[in-house]
Amino acid sequence: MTEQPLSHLRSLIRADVNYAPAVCMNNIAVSLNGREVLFDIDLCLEEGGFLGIIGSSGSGKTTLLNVILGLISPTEGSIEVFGGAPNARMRRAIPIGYVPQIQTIPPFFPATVFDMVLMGAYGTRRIGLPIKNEYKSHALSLLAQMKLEHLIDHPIGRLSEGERQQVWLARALVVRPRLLLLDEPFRGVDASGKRCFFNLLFDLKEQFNLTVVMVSHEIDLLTRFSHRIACLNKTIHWHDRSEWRNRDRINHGYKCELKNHLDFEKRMKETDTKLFADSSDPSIHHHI
Amino acid sequence: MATIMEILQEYLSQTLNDLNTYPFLPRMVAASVLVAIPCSMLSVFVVFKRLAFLGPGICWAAMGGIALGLFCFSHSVESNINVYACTIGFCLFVAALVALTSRSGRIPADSAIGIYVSAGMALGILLNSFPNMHVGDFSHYLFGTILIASQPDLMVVVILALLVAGFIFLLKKDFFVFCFDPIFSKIIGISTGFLHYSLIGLLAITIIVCVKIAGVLLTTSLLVIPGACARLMTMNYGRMFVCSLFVAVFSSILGAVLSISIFPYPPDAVIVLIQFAFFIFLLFIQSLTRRNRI
Repeated sequence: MTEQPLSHLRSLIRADVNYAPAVCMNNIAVSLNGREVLFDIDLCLEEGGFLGIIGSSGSGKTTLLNVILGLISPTEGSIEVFGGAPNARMRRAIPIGYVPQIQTIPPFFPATVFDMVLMGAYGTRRIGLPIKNEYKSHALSLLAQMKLEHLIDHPIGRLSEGERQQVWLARALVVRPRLLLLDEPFRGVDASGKRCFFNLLFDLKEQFNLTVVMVSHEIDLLTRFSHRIACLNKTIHWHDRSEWRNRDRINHGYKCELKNHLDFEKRMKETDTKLFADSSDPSIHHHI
Repeated sequence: MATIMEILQEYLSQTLNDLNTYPFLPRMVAASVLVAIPCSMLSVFVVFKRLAFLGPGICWAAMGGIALGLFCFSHSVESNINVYACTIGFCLFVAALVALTSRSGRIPADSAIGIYVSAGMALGILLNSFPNMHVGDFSHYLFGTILIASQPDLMVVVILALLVAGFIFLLKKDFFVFCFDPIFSKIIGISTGFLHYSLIGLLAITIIVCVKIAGVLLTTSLLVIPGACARLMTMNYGRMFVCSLFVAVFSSILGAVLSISIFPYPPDAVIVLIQFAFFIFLLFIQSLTRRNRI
């Protein structure tokens, strides 16, 4: 596992110096339609931190993000985002960046990449007034940093998934948010695309002193970049980086995603060897 | 070539002659253009949000409103204004129910329209079958024709056109996010509830006003075809409004003038067919230029 020692250390030090919680959850429970989705969640995320959240499907990851955004209010407990309850007014005053899961877009949707990025700033404009030039230039510089300048006038429906995820990241960042939430941002993006995305995200995080919460299944990349990782299974289990180095301990300690992940990896390796064995079978080549 | 020019010249002079002889004709052209403006601007959203069924739906629901109006004000059948007000109220009520039901997304908008509209029609038929209530053909309360648009009618459409244009000008961007990604619009602090209700409310008012003047056929076509044409003509959201306006106004003028020159033909049918021809033409061009589609 490769490290990013310097930058990582820097962000840790800064997080310690101006310690102000970006997100503070106090004993939160959420029920949706009479079903308990989350319970006993205590979470305090310092500004500038990077929190990774993993968990199997239906473990309440997206609900947790919705609670932070203020789209779902908890049935029990309290939540503060930058010292206030998250609601529509707060989201206008202190914008929160949000990168959604991969979504399909009709190929002829009438919007260019630049329109899409600028869409992130629509909440800041007053009724009837155009969007401030400040945001337009910021959108351009973000796209330049992502090396997507050549796609500025490209219809959004005709981008590849990986490019589109970068556009969503730019859209989330165009309002200069202090908090960025990412909800499984790259299902279906290839490995190098993911690494690129993560590197970009980390650079931008350093540049704008972002607080990042990311839901993802990419355990390897999360361990490399995030300060803390939470396993979510209706309630939260904490891991810090040192713990993650010793996977066996986690494997025994918690029944969470990682166990499944390791099992999955093992199974993949088995099937891989099987596949390779099959492909060395001359009868297959004969058919090809 | 010369003969074509001669025919055209003759045709134009004939048209101008007609305009002078029939004083209501300029008013008809003005009415068709004025109706085209608010309808075509809203048609962009109708196509985005799949609300094409709302037009005919509201018109049919108006049947219930008319019957209800006659039922309540039967002593004053002569004063149409009471019945008309009742019809408008009923249509707005149906639109509000549609908006309320489709808000959560659990029941899609077209299903909600189907449900309330059939209930409204059923109410109309039921009330109409009461012994002392039979009014026979009450379509003249609702389905006007563009040939006999009156001066106050035109004033109402002018106000409506200004209202719709102002609304779209002020909230164009908010509607864009709302159409594209409602959840994201909530996240960045744009209220989706307000946009949802105001869009359906504005559509309902437009439908009621325009149907009174232009009839159900012209109104429903103007609420769909220009938006669909704009979708084919451009990939730019802002330009979609311009394209939609262009298609609607152009076909309204052309249709009105054509129906004047070949007089006994109904102008609304001619306008709709011109719009349709426009759409088919664009579709054809589209299939020529974009061969390898997904």
